[in-house]
Amino acid sequence: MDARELSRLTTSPSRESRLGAISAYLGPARALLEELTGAEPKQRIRTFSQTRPDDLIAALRATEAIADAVVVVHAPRGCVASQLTSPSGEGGRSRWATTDLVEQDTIMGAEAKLRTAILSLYQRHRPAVVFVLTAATVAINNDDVGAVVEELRERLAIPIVSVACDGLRSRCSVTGADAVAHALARSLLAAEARSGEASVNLLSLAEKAADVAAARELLATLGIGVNVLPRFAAHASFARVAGAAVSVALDPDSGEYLGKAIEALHGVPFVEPGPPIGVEGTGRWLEAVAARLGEAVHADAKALHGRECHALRPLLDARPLAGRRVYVGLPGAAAFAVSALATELGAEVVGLAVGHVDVLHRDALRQLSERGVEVRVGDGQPFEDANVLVRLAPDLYVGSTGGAVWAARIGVPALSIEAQAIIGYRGVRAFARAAARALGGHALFERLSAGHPLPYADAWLQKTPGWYIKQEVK
Amino acid sequence: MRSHVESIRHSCALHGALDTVQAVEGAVAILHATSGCGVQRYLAGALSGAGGSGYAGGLATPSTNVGERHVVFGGTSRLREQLKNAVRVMRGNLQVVLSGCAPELVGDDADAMAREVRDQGYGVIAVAAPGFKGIAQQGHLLAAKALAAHLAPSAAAERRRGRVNVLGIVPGQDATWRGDLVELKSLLADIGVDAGTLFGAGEGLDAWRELPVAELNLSFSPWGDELARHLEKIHGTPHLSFPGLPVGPDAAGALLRRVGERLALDEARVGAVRAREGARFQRYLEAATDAFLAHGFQREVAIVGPAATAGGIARFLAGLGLPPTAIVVTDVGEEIGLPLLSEAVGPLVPELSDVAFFGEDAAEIADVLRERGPELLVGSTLERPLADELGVPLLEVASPVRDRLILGRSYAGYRGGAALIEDLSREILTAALAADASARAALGAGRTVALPLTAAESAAQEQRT
Repeated sequence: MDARELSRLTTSPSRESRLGAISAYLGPARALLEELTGAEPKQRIRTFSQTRPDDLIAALRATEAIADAVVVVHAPRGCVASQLTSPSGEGGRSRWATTDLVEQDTIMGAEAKLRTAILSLYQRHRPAVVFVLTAATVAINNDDVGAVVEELRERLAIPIVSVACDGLRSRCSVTGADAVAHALARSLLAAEARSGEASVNLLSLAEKAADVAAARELLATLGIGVNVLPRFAAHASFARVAGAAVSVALDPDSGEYLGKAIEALHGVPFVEPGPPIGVEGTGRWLEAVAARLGEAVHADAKALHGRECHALRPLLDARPLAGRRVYVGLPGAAAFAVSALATELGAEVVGLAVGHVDVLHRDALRQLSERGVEVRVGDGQPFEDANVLVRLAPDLYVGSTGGAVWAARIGVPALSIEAQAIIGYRGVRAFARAAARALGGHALFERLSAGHPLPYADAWLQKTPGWYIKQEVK
Repeated sequence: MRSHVESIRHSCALHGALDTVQAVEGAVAILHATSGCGVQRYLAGALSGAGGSGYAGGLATPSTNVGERHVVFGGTSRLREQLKNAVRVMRGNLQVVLSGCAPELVGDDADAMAREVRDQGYGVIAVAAPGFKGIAQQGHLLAAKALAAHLAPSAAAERRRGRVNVLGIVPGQDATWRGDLVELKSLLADIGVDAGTLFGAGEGLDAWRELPVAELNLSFSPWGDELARHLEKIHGTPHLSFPGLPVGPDAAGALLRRVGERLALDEARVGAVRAREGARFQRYLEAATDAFLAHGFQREVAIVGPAATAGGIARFLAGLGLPPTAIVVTDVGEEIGLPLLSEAVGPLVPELSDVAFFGEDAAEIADVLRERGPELLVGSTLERPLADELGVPLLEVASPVRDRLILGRSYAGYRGGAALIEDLSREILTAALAADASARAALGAGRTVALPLTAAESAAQEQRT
């Protein structure tokens, strides 16, 4: 990525074209690794599928928590439903609105509506920045969002950032995080470098507040000041990026594009150590950041890691998950990191479902392939998980709520990583406790599996789980 | 036409249709839409009253996940493939294709694809429910009409004495829909009426097939009114329309009386039920009176929600001497909403047009509420920032609800009235306890709860009093 490319392209390329992302696969980790190492990975499709997140959902997530921002979603109202339980402008959240496109707008166009919406939201809330997100409808009706944004940017003299989402061009939702990063890089990050700012840009495009707070606290113990963005930021945070010594993401998938863009524009190096999850993962993450902050900080980080390892030794030696067969289902890098964490606690990871896989995951895949694990690639698709879980009968499912709920219904003790922060050394203890609670609370899962039947036909559960994944015919 | 809505509370027609189909036992919804549509719905409501992943919802919702090529070349072949496989993967007696914005804009013929699979002997129908058709309640109507057209296309040869259908309580949109349907069914059963509620546990495709045998349809919202008029056309079933959810003894009594008269039920039996339930509510109310007085329950209240919820709750609270200082109706305009409110609250709120507002925009609602300065808020979680700003208790009763799960909770009927008092009391008493604690802290007596006062402190306190 270079600065020229950032200013030339109106939006980021899809993950598929940029990093060879794959979103449909089921089979050995080894074969997948080979495909990702080859020239162009094979793209497969599902001939039966269930819903999954798209770029707009990722873009909403990346922009929803900027204190002085207004987010306008130029789309029919359902495209902003994921924000429904988040009141506009509540405690550090972005204000949000939708142009509520109706049938007539889809036929006649709705640029005027967008213009009026931005003007009236500006007059009411005086935001420091306005984000305009689009969806499939606008990709089809061809509203010239760029022209409206350009006009109002001059008129209102505030940054108005247009983020192109369409739910169509990519099968990886993280493409939406890239689109936000690209738009930020073009419009907001062109600030002068100032010294004396926070030393680390902590990039967060998807994490919950508790995880970011845990990471910030971890760095604070080493006296490292952080500039968190774009989530949990204010407009001013964007102007500070150039003053940092290093950028790092909590989630290397969604943070990668922004980190590299900051590096390309301002020369702030972006380090990619993997998420700070698990003992080793956290140590690696701290090490990568601290190594860029001078000898003293680097030495402190090493000492901190030593102390924390020592404090965690009794827990690790007890191997609380020994003999437990664990199935992990999470997006991207988090899936690999949580697998490693479970392994540190003595578990055997018997299967992995990962939202997407691209060249950034090669190293993690290599480790899995050595252990002969099967990998299922694709966000959501609990029908495939159900099939796999019935066969594998693991002792524990670890994932996001939307997937964990289906494991629970099959009777597999399940835990959602959304219920606690699993970042850092403290996260190791929190995870061990949560796993113990799920395993000890098996009565709930037994009760659930004894109730309603699964929504799947028995015939499906007897088919091979990858049955509906086919080679794409172009 | 307005340019935008800040903080929508009603999602789109596709999501309303999705909730509606998923609330019918035996039906499986299949989205023909871009991939994010199903997930947006899941994220909107899974953690509140809307009800989690359900039978085949949440991330398990089948979806064609159309992409660029399906917009360019058409998505019908993708839908055909999905349907052919869905009938083998999903367990259900009726698969309902709901097509969203992108396939509807490019003109995919979902109906033809559904017919093709139906001709092979599978239960499959298609409903065009693009999000741009309007709010979720519009989608509810689209789906309900399609289900009726397929499962009960014509009038019944014979009607069943004492059978009615309950219409207008919208699954997923009305936060207490499950409990309200159960409560109404049970209340009507007490007077010998067999109510089909069409949605929720035990209400499957058969309830829909039996739609035409009802003697009468009962509607509890403007959306139910439209559905009732539609069913009157295709089944010839007359309907009774009620001004919103019948919350508390007055509205519940009116429901029983009107249904009893219309179906010529035994007056003594209806009267006995009304007397028994009314007396029980009265005992509850008497038990609540001390707390009412101690904590100043009678406050100026502002209510925000769909017409049926707002109207029903406003009527009940006004009947307890809590006159509304504002009623904000979020799902219908003044033309439909004002007559409904007027019928609901009647003479209890003489200057209704001064307190009734119609709109969904969060910023405008906040303006109205700030200007009115209520002492108690009944609404959705979107009123939370304002409740904090005004320092008043908020009870979340309308979607989106965020501060609790709503499973069987109901505000309908006699028991629903008591439940509403209980839930309001929790908000009011929690606020009162917090106010008391901060007053004590301000007086420097914050630790007296745990520790006995020192002699000096006792003396000081005595002096103060």
